[in-house]
Amino acid sequence: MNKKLLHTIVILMSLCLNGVSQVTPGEIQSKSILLVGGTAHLGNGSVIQKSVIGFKKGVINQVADLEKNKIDSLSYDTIINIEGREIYPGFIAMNSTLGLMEIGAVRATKDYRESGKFNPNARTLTSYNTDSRITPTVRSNGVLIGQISPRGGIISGTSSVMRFDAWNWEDAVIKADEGIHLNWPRSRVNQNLSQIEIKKSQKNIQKQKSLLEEFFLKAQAYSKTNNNIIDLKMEAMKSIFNGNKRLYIHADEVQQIKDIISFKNKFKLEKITLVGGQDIHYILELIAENKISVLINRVHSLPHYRQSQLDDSYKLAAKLFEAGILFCFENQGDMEQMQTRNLPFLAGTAVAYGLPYEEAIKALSYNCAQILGLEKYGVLESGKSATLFISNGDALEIMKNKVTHAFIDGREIDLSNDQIKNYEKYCEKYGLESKP
Amino acid sequence: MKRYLLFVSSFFVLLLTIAQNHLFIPHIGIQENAVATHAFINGVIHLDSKTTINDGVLLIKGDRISDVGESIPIPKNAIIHDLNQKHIYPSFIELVSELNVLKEERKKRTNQPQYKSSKEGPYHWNEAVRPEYNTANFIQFDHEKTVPYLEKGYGIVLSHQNNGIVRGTGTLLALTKDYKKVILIDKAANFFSFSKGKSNQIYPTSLMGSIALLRQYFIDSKWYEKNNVNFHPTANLSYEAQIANNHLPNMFMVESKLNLFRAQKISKEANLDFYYKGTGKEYENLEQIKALNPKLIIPVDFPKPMNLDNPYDAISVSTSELSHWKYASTNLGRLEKENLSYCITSSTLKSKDFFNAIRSSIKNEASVEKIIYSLTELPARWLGIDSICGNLKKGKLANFIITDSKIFSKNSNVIENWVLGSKQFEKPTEEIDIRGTYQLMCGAKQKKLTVSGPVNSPKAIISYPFLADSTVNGDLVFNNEGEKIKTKKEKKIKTTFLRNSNTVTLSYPEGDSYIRLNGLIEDGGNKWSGEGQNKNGDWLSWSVIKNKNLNRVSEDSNSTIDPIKSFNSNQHLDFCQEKYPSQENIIFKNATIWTSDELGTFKGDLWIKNGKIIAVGKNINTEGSDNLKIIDLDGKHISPGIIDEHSHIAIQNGVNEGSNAITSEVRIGDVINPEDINIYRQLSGGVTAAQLLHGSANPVGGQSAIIKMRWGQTAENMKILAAPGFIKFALGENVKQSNWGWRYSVRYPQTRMGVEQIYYDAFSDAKNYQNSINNYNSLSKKEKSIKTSPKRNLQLEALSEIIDEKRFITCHSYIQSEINMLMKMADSMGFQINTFTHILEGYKVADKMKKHGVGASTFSDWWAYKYEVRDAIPYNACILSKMGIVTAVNSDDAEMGRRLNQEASKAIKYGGCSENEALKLVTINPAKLLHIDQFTGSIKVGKDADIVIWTRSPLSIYSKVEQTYVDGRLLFDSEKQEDLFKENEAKRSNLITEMIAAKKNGVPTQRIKKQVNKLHKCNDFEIDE
Repeated sequence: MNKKLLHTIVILMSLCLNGVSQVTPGEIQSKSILLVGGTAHLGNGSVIQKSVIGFKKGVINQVADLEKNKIDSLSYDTIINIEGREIYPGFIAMNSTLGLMEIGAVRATKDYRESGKFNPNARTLTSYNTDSRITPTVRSNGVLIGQISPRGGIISGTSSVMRFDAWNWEDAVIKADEGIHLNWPRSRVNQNLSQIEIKKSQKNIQKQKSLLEEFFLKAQAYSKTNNNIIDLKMEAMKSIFNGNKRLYIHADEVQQIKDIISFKNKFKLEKITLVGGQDIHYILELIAENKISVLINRVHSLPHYRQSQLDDSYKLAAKLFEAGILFCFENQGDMEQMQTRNLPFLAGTAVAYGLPYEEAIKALSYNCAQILGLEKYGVLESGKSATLFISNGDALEIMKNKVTHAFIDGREIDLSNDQIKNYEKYCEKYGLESKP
Repeated sequence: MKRYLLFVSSFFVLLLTIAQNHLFIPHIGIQENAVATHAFINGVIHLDSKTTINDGVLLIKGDRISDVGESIPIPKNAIIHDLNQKHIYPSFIELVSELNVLKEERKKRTNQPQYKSSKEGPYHWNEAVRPEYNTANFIQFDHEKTVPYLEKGYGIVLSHQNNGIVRGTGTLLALTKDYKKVILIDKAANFFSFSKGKSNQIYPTSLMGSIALLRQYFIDSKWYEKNNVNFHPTANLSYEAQIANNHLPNMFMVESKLNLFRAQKISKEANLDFYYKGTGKEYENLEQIKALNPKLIIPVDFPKPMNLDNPYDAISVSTSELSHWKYASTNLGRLEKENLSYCITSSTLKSKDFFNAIRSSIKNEASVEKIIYSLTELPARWLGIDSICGNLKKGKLANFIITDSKIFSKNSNVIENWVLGSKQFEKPTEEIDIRGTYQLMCGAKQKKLTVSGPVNSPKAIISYPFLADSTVNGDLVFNNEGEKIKTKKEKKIKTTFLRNSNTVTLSYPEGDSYIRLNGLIEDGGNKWSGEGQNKNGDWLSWSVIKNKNLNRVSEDSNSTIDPIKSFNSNQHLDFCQEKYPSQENIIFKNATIWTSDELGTFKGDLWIKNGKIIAVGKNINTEGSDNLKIIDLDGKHISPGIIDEHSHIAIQNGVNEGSNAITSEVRIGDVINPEDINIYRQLSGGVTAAQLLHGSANPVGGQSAIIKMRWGQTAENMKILAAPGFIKFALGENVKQSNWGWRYSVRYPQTRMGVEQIYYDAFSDAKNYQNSINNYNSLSKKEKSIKTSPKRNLQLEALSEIIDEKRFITCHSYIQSEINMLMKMADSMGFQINTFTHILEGYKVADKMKKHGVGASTFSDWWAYKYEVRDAIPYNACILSKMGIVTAVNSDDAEMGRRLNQEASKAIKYGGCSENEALKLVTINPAKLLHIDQFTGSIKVGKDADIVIWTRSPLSIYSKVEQTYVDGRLLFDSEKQEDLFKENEAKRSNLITEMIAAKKNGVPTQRIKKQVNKLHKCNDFEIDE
């Protein structure tokens, strides 16, 4: 009876909301929850085969091994037996534009690229669309947090870390204005151009580099004093120099990366992360020595050159791991917003090509939190945010990734989305059984 | 008939050249009537490539050779030229040039794409087709521009306007200063190409479009010739011109190496002979060329080394570029060895580069005889002018060159070039290279003179030795006790040096004044002598004697490295074996076999032999079979080869003919690029077959090609011959040009309403076409003779095939309304749609699709990239499949193509398909959609041995391909791949090292050619703007 009523309400609600926002953000955790018996991938590289994980008011207060410890289950309101299933910390999408673009071909939906070369003050925070139709399809695969990042120009702007379940951007923000994104000027000139064009292009590269240097010098000087006349760009840059913001530098070529290292030393930049790094496998030691963390672009990309080894991109993560470099995955490129839901599978391929499984999980959670400076996320530990999900099977294996529950700060989120609704609608029309 | 034409045309030439002298030209002043006779004596006369007279006489009078031979009486009035054992050769003939042609400018572009020809009047509908263009009318005579040709030894050049697909006629130029005699034949050859040149008309945007345009053009002109005179009331000047020039030789500018085979196909179809201007890379595909035996015009512009000291520059250069640098000079030798007939073109080359290229070709087994033949007699024959030139026989045009030594021998030069009986070129003497060191004798002291710098403006420095008091280092001088006492040093004196022809002026300081000298260069530069004045004003005599020549760097890049190079086939490709692997006889034991067929998935054995699957099951009996390889797979998995219903790899120069709304005449099959590395990459992902589709830029796109990934084979061999014809249709935003920007808003259709109407229009047209052909065919012979025969129309022919269900439609589609519309349209025309590809809203009309009987090929989970895909769901494949529709999952993407197994597994995640059903989405189902399921797509006895061996379940993300077999041949082996990669890196490294060595030897370099990896998606659309 009760169930039926609920069902009717759900149907009524979905009718009302048809064409508006499709999923309702989860309620604040009022009842404590204990998950018993699941295989817990903690995110820090370790795994508990039969685990007990409890959380209350959005915070994990127990992580234990069922086989080794006596479990206090009485103090929890709800106990869920998840034996045979897997628990993971919520995966984090780095360098993502989710919520900044709905439909690639529709210009009106694009909010990630500002005009001009230097835009450190442009913030993704306030443009982030919590009602994006894409986000619900992403979190139902286990991706629960994102570093929402701008694109374009030399300095694209400032990223913020957002949770993928919120009423508005203020609710969504986990860490506002955490990093600035810099597209390093290309170092290599396209040699297929004419002699004059090559010269022009070289000049242009030089010009961009000196513009960049000038900008940083100016910003560094500005950051040393309090200024009466406020310069928005300079203000935004300030925290780069005091280490409050991380600098994400997008670059692919060896020469660029070398330039970045000397730039880092010149400006004494502590927190820098390389994004992309297609040629990085040539200089792994140099990256490791300089303690630069890396966001590797699309594990599923074609080898860069015709003569490249076929699985170059697949193997890169394993190589970074072996070299002791802190890294995560990212997905910038064609259809990147919708592809965010495939982030776990990029890690899956990396595992197939040599990355240890728990390291892959780490690269989707704890490593990201470390780079982003999130103290409460990315790992299943007592005292951390209860941001996690349960999957019927291995979350990195496409055919087994079946997320049954997901919690963000203890709030259980609705795993439905427009696509599931359409699926159910048409299954009903055709009289097919719908297994979501 | 042909011979007759040749004869007529050469006779015409003869008349023309003779007649020119009798044209009335009013003269000014006193006439010069005397016609000189020249006698060249004591020469080595090469009458043609084979015959040489060692001590002969060549007599010329006017523009003709009046006699030639060993003992010929020399007329008293002859001007004698003593050749002193120098050599005479017939001068060369260039077939491909733009010499002295007034360059055409591109017209200003219109704001919106130009769909119609801007050339008004009764001409061909396409601006790039201009057979009426006559280059002779656009010759801008400039003797200076002919000098580089004369220097190389050319006397006759076939020049044409390098613009357009049908370029009109080229004109034959004699390289004479007498501009009244410049044109030998005004219309000498027809020119064709695949490049549309400066036309702004949007059609064609692709290579396959150019091919279709040419094919239709030849069909039309034949039809016009047969029908127009009698039955058609108006004339078309383009076809009139083509018919009038039909008898001329046809030159086809091939431009990119595989285009040779494409042009050859047209030649066969149109029954036309072409002379193909090749690319210099013929040696790379020699086997294929051999089979066709084409007439080739081969360029000898060999690549120069690149600056690859920076390893990060080197990685960006493709293996084929590196390889071509090394092996380009083997081309002529290889062609000769295979007895292929070729002429040589060198119009873009400087004299020095031309001679060096020929020399290195000779070093690589090309014979001098054949090269001379290919520069003289053969081009003359091809142009039908061998009756007047091409050799030095009596009565021929006096076109010849004099060389200082045997031509193409080391340091040989053309010193004189005579055209039409008059000297057009003489090698200037100041070009004697005087650089080197000399002993200067002037006054008491002997000094050293060093001449260096550029050959045309050398610098000089005078120096003398002296002993310095320093004993620190250097060339020390010791006394008798062995003590260091002095150091030998050299004092350099700044010298002013001027050279004017064979006169030199030197001045240098001595004491507080200058010695000033002037003299002559003598003895070929070995000695100079003259007079000068010193500080007192006294006159003195001086001389210099050469000690040695400047250390000249070798300019022949190939000479320093191994003298004879052998190019193994496929060496220019990455990861491609020299020999195509043979068909294996293997039994795989203890494997998990995913059959995608009746047997389902089970543990057992699989036997392949002679390219077929000959047994599948448990404990197969192999007794008595010889040479059987037994491989225990120990629990590994075998699946059928993966089939990609929707791929755009391996397509050359344009995946879309994105111009007109209907382009059913274009064929992907014409432009397959068998050397695309993505073919091999697909194999590494277990893909064995794919449909290469035209893009989605127009409602009716082009015909597709269905291929197997036979890496290392030719384009034709990759095609699955038994597969039926397919064609791409498209609906929605792409065909409406919705996302192409404001420029593209004039083409019909711009709405989904228009898309429907375009189809009705096209298919009504096709039906009329069918009727007219049927009606004509039913006429009696007599009736036929008085009626216009219907013209073959490639576009309507393809559409008719659809109506007759001989060609199947794969239609790019998203939105349910348009899907439904197309099915209704097809119903009304009496045919069926075969496949909806992408079909992202298929789940909304699955019942209707089922009723129509159409199949589906979809993306696993793509959405949100366009407005029309906002309702796409990843459950689509599962719903369609469960509704009983033959469903496939496709890639449309070179990267994803190699992970289609993963994409298939998404149907398990989204909608709960069984694993077997999921695998079928990329194996037997696409095979069914492509009508190739009777011989591939599943593991079944009798089918082709297209199979993949996986480390795990083919649906697992952790699974890797170990081996891929196509037709029972092992075309990818992950274990071997490691070695192949290392070998390939070593091969590249050797080439790079050789290149650096050549560069260090002073060979001039060229810019780095970066490889461009072009990947195509459906909506990729390029217009060369």
